[in-house]
Amino acid sequence: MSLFPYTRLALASGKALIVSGHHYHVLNAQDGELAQSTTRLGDDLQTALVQSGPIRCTAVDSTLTHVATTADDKKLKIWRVETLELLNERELPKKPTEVAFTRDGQTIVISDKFGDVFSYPLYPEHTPEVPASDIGASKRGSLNAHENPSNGTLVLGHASLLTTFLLTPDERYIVTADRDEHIRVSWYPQGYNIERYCLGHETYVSALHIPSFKESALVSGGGDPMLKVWDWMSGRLLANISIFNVAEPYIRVRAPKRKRGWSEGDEDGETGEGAQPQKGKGKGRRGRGKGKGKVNQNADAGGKEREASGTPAEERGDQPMADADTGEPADESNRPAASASEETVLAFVVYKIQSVDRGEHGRFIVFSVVGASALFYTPFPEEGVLDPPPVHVVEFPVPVVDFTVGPDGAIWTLLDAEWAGAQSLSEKPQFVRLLTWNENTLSESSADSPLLDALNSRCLVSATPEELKKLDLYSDLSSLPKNVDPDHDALIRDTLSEAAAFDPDAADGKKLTLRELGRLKKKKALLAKIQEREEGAKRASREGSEAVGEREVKRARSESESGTGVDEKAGDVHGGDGNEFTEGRDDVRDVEMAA
Amino acid sequence: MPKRKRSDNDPAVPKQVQNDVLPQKRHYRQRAHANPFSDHALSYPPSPDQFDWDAHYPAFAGSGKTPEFADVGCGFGGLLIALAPLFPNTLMLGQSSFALSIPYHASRMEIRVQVSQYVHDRIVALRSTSAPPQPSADDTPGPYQNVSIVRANSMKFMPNYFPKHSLSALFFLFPDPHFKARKHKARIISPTLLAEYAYILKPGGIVYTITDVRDLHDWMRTHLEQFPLFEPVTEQELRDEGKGPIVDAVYNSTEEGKKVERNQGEKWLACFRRIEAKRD
Repeated sequence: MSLFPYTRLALASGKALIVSGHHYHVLNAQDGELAQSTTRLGDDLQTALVQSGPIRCTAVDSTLTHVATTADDKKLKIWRVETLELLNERELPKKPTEVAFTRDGQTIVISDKFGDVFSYPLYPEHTPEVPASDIGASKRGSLNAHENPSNGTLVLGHASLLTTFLLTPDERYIVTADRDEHIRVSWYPQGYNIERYCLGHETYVSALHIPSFKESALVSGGGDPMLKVWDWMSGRLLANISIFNVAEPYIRVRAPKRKRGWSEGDEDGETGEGAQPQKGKGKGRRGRGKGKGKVNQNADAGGKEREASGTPAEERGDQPMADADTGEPADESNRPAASASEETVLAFVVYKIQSVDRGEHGRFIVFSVVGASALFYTPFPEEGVLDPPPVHVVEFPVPVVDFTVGPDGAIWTLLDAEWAGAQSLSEKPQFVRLLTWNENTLSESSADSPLLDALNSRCLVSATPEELKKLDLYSDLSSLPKNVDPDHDALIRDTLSEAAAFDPDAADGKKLTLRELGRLKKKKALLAKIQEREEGAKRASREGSEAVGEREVKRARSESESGTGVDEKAGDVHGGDGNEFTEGRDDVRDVEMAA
Repeated sequence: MPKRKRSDNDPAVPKQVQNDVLPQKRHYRQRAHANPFSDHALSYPPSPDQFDWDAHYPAFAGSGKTPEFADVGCGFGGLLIALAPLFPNTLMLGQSSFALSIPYHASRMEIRVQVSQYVHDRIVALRSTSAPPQPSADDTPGPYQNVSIVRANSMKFMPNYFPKHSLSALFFLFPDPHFKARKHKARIISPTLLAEYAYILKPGGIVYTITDVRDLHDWMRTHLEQFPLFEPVTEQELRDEGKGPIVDAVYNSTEEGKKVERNQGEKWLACFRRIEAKRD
């Protein structure tokens, strides 16, 4: 029988809270005794929990008095830990990406997929008066750009998916990070006032941390090959810590290669474009999401790439994002024919950054990477130390899901013991491993720990294969990398999809003007040139001759460019189309992009 | 509707030059909207100090100056071209999702020539045709050296271009109304985006908005009024402060503005001043 891997562990006030699938348990941290568990709740509540989907975000206050959970249903649930009472349930406007309590435990702050941060009081009755949102509302509806079903307070918003955030130790600032490389430092609670940006990342930022031993510093990581250390108040970069070369060999999970499709327009992000679950995966598949079962046998398709051309760009509508990753049964019928080799790409995503102060033995940054079967630690860069800091590794047999630094600096590591690639191991790995420090080295603890034993034996919750699939622990590998390929500019894509979609022999035989026909012909020629160029590039890279490929690509490109020039002239010969140029907007407003 | 050669009316350039050098709009075809939320292969700098300002303003190279005026959605560049001679030492930048960025990346394949390549070419032409025959006695750079254009997604990447508190004027002229309710989130003025505009504006800097769509005017005005870091400023106050020429340019210098006049539409102006932030 399969079991849910643990996805979150919180330690505070002598208690341990562990999340397992749809459920969580509360244990005594000293003796491992089970104090509470949602698996012991009444049937109705349990059904509701299962219906909500696996718990995705968890936050606890500093005394583990209350816990906030969100699942797949955009509901914020607040529980009283002692009695496991569900205090309240509120609907959130968008899918949350991070949840945190303020220090006093009275407010819950939530970042979401849309890019906003909302705060909610612990008790809904304490919600501040909402100003009338219908001031001067026109016939066309309210003046609100933001939905807000539970009267949360809008703290701030990015125009991009928010991956993570944190409040500074004095809670006067909030640091938010997004998929478009931004780290923003704003006042809290006056999030409308931006203090500073920490700019320099070149890919998505997915992890933030302020070390307790240096509160003016911010450590960040994401898809870049290094962690960055900032003075967050001034935005000044203090140090780069190179981590990719050390971490990459341990990445065991890869994202499926995105198929570049011509069929979708760009109107509201790419709904369903590239939503192609594994090919050739039958019902017998174990494990979640991507080609994990084949990870070890996979020949790298097209060589290693740093960034996954993953599933759709951020979807800002109401649909849940990255449908591909949940492998809906409905998609099975759309699967292309199974191919022999699984096409996957490497995606590098820093999951979590923490720090440990070992006093005279040094101060360390500890971090994990999505899908990597190791935990990494490196000395915190000190001023005046110029040598690149070493990055140490503690390896595990399976990918690390999450880790928690205990009050004593010990590190509780949650492992994906159900990982499909673990089938080859002689025995099932443990779900939790405890690491302790010996001077400045981190290694597996040999000491007894009743809590550890309890977590590894008594608290595990069983899971069906479908439930495990839905858990999809590695979705970030597909959802964070941006779907941008300079050769596939969305603007170009639209033109060409028009061309591709047009069928001159279509049954309805719509009459086109000579002008339109001419234009479409040029577009088709361009489309053909692009495809030919792609083929050339693909062929070249397969032959392993990069230089040739590049030359071919350049040649094809310049040919197309001159082709464009010809097109231009042709356009003129046709006398232009009498376009009235408008500045700032089309005459046809709200024109949907060509599908 | 008969087509007219608009280049005939460009006031900045002598008649005989226009036909030879100035770009003609009929050669530049318009294209559809770009969705600001999707990922386009637009190149943008990781941070303002990594942007090559000298390439845009070669006459100011080495000065360390960054733009003080920004026109968001600059279309044909009418506003900046009108303002450039009035503030010759102030750098101005137009942003458009349709612009070509400079320097032109020769490796990128361009299908269609966008509206704002027209603007780019126009600026280049103006710079060369308007230069005085003798270098001037003082060090004033030649005309139109202070205006340039970038292709950028203003909703996402303003802070990548503009340092904190660097702008004294930010322009939103005849923005896309995005009439449908579900498109409201794509409007260029929103409670969350205003924070970014406040960040790049100096305290005391001015946001100028104008539109002929009453709904949109109400929307922009209301959101700006509700935003703690902006306070309304009347047209008269602006004129009293000496900003009359700017206000006039906002009303009259853009293609869109002229079109509204031809159609006898109304223009609604709403301007706001960026104020200091306070911790309550």
